[in-house]
Amino acid sequence: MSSMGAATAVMADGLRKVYCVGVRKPGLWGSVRQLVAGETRDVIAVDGVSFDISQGEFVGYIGPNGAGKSTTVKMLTGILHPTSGHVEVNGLSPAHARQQVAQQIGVVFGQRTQLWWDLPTIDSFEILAAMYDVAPADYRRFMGEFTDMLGLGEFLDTPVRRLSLGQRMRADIAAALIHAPRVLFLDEPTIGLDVMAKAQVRGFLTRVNRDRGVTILLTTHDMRDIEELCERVMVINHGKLMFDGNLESLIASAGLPTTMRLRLSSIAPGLAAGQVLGKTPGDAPECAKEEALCVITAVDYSARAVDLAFDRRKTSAPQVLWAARELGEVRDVSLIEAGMEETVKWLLA
Amino acid sequence: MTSVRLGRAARVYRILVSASLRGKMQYRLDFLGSTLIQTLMGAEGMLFIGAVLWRFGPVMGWSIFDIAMLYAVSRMGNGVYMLLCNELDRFELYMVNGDFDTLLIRPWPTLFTLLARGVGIDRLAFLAQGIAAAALAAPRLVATGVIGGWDAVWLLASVAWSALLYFAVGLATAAAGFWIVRIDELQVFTMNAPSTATSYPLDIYPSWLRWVFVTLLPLGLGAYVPLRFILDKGGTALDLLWPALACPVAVWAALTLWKTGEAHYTSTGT
Amino acid sequence: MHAAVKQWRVLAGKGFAQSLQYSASHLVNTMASVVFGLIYIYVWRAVTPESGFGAYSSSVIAQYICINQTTAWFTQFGMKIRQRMVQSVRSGRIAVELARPMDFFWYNMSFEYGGQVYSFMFRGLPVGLVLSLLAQLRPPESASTWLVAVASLAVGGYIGISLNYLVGISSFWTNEIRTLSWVLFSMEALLGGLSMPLEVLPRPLELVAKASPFAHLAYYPARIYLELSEPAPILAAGIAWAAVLTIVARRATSRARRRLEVQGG
Repeated sequence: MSSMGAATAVMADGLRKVYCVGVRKPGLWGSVRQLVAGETRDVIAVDGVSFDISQGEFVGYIGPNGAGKSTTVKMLTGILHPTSGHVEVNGLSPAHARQQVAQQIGVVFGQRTQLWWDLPTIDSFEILAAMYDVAPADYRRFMGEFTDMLGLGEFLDTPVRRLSLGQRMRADIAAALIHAPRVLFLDEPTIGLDVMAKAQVRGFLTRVNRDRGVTILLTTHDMRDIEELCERVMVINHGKLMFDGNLESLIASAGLPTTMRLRLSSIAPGLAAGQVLGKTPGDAPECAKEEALCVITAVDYSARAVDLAFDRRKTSAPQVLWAARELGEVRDVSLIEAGMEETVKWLLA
Repeated sequence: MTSVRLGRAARVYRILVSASLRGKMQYRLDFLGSTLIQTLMGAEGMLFIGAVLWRFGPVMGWSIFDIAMLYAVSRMGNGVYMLLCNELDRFELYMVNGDFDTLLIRPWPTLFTLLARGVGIDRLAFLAQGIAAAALAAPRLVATGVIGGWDAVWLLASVAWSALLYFAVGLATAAAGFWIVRIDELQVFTMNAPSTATSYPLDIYPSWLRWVFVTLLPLGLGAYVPLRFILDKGGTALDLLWPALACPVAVWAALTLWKTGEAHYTSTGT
Repeated sequence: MHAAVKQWRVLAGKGFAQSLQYSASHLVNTMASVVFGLIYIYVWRAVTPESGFGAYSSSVIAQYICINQTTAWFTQFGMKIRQRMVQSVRSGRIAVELARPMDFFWYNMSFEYGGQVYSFMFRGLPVGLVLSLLAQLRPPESASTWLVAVASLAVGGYIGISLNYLVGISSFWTNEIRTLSWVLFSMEALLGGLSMPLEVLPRPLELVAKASPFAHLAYYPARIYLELSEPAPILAAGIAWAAVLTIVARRATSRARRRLEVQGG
C-alpha cells in the first residue's frame, strides 16, 4: 500500500485486541464466585487489522461507534498493548518502547483535553515544552509560527476552562505539535465543533501535513473531514478492515447509482417511484430491472421533479435522457453523484 | 547521561507540581476547607487514642508516651506518603475517567508523571500531627531514659521505612485498579484499616493478626517492629534489620505489579 | 395515610431490589468492616481493666462493638441518599423529582430504607457473624428484648436516613456537601458510640451525646440488646427525634422547593 519508496511511518500487522469482560452474577454467592473463579467473556475489539502508512500520508480512519477505531489508535499510540499482532511507529514498537515513541508522535483526543484546565493556555505549552525537552529557540519559533497560524494569540492568557470548544481544540492540536512530532494521531478532532471552527481545524491540518510533511491518521464521524483532508481512507467495522484505498476507488467500488434529477413542464398522473424506464417492449417483467436503463426513485408533483437512478458503468447520461423523453418535455437536468456519506452507509450495511 | 536525565526529571517534576499548585490555588476556599477537614479528621483518631489511654493507663506495658511515639512514627510515614503520593490515593479517578491515557502518551514513566500531577499539600496535617506527637513524647521518653544516643537516627529510619511501606502498599493497591478499576473500597481494606490498626502496639492483637499486619497488610512492619526494640518492649536488635530488608522488597514487588498492570490497562470507552 | 403506607412498601421494595447487585467491591468493603471490628474489639480488650468499667466487663464491651459494627450497616454506612440528592441538584433533574405528585421526603426515605435493609442483611449480618465468633455474642433470652431491640434499630435507621437527607438537601444552597458530610460523619463517630461506649467521653460530652439523635444510631440499640438500659424511655426519645427530624426535613424541603421556583431551576 505504501507509495513508491517513501519510508513507512506507521505499520500494523495482524493487529488484534481482545478485552476480557467479567461476567457478573447477581446475589452474594454470585459475587463470591466471580471473585474466586473469575468467570469472564471475551470481546474482540480489533480483529486482525493490517496496514502500512507512508511518511507524509494523510489517512482517514472511519467506522461506526464500537467498530474498533479508538482501540486501534490506542494501540498505535502505546496506550493499549495488542493481544497479538505487531505495531511499529517510526520503526519502534509502542508497547515496548513507549517513551521513545511518545517523544516522536503527537496525540489529540477530541473528547478529552490534555491541557491544564485551570491555568492560562500558555502555561500548558510551557509545561509540555519542558516535558518533551524542547530547546528554548525551537519553542520560540514554534510559538511564533503557531500563534499566527491558529490564532492562539487572542486567548493565550485565558484559563483553558474558559475557552470555547473551537479555541480549545486549536490549542490542543498546537500542544500536540510542540515537540515537532513526525506522526500525528487525531481521535475525532472536529467533534462538537461548529462549521467555522471545523473549517479552521481542517485548514490547519492540511498545512501541517503539506508544509511540514507530518504523517496524519485521523478518526472522525464527519465525512466532510475525510472528503476535504484525506487522500486515503480506511474503513473498519466489527474490528475488521473493510476497505483501504483512496477516496475515488472507495466510491467507485461501492458502485452506487447516480441520480439524475429532471424538471418537467408537466407530470403525467400515475407516475410513481419504482417505475422503470427505457426497457425494450416485449421484455419479461421479472427481468425488467436488469434490462432497464433507469428507475424512478422519487416523484415530486408540486415541483414537477422526477429523480432517476442509473448505473454509470452500464448506462450513459444521454441514454437516460433519451429514455426519459416519454415523461414529457424536460426543462432542466442535474446529476447527483453518490458521496462518502452514502458510500460508507452502503459499505457498512 | 543518567545524571542529565535525572536533572531533567527534577526540572519536569518541579514544573508539573508547581502547575498543579497554581491550579489548586484557583479554588482557595475549597483548598482551605479540604485542609481543615484533613486536619480535623486526623486529629480525631489521635484524640480517641489519647482519651482511651488517659482513662485506662498503660496497655501491655506501653505507656501513653510510648504509644504517642509509635503513633508519631507511623503518622509521619503516612504523612510523607500522602504528601508525595496524593495521586496514588485518588487513582480510582484515573481508571474510571480514563485519564490514565494522557499519562501513557508522555515520554516519561507513568508513575513519575502520575505523582508529579499533584502533591497532597492539603494533607500536610498528617505530617504535622506526627511531628506534634513526637514532640510531645520525646522529652518524656528521653527523661525516663527510654530513648537516647543513636535512637533518634533509628526513629528517623523507622519513619522512612513506614513511608516506603505506605508507598509500596498504596502502589500495589492502585495497580490492582488496572484489573478491577474501582479501588476505593480496596484502599479502605489495605490502607485505612491497617493504618488504624498499626497506630496501636501490635501486642494487643492475637499472634495471627499480628502476623497479618507485618506480612499481608504490612504497614506494621515500618513502625511497630523497630519501635519495640528502640523503646525496649521486648524486641531484639534484629527488629531494626527486618524492615531494612523487607521494605525494598515490598517496593520492588509493588513496582513489578504496577508494570504488569500497565500492560494490562484497558482504558475506557471501548 | 393508607396511600402513604402503600407507597412506602413499593418504594422500599425498589430500594432493596436496586441494591441486589452485590458486587465484589461490597465484599471487600465487608472484609474491611470486619478488620475494623477486630481492631476495636482487641483495643478494648487490651485497655479494659479486669474489673471492667461501669456496666462494661471486657466481654460485654466486645459484644457492644460487635453489635455496632453490624447495625451501623443499617443506620450509618452505605447510604446513597446524599450523593443521589447532590447529583440531582447539580444535573437539574431535581426539578422533575420535586414535581412528582408525592412527598419528596417520604419518597427518598422509603427508597433509602429499602436499600438499608438490604445493606443490613447482606453486609451487616455477615460482618456480625464473623465478629460474633470472636466476641462470643450472646443472643438475648427474652423475646421482648428482641422486639424492643429491633424496634429501636428501626427507629435508629429512620433517624440516620433523616440526618443524611438534611445534609443532602443542603446542596440546594451550597451545591456541594463535602463539609457537611464530614460534620455528620464525625458527629456519628463521636456522639453515636460506634467504636466506644459513650461513658468513655468526658462527662459533659457524654450527657450531650446521650441526649442527641446520634446515640440512637448505635449506642442505644446496642444497650437495649445487651439489656443494659430500660427500653421504654429510649424508644420514646427515639420516636420523638424521628418526629422532630421529619418536621425539620419537610420544612427544609419546602424551602428548597420555593428556592427552586424563584430561581427557575
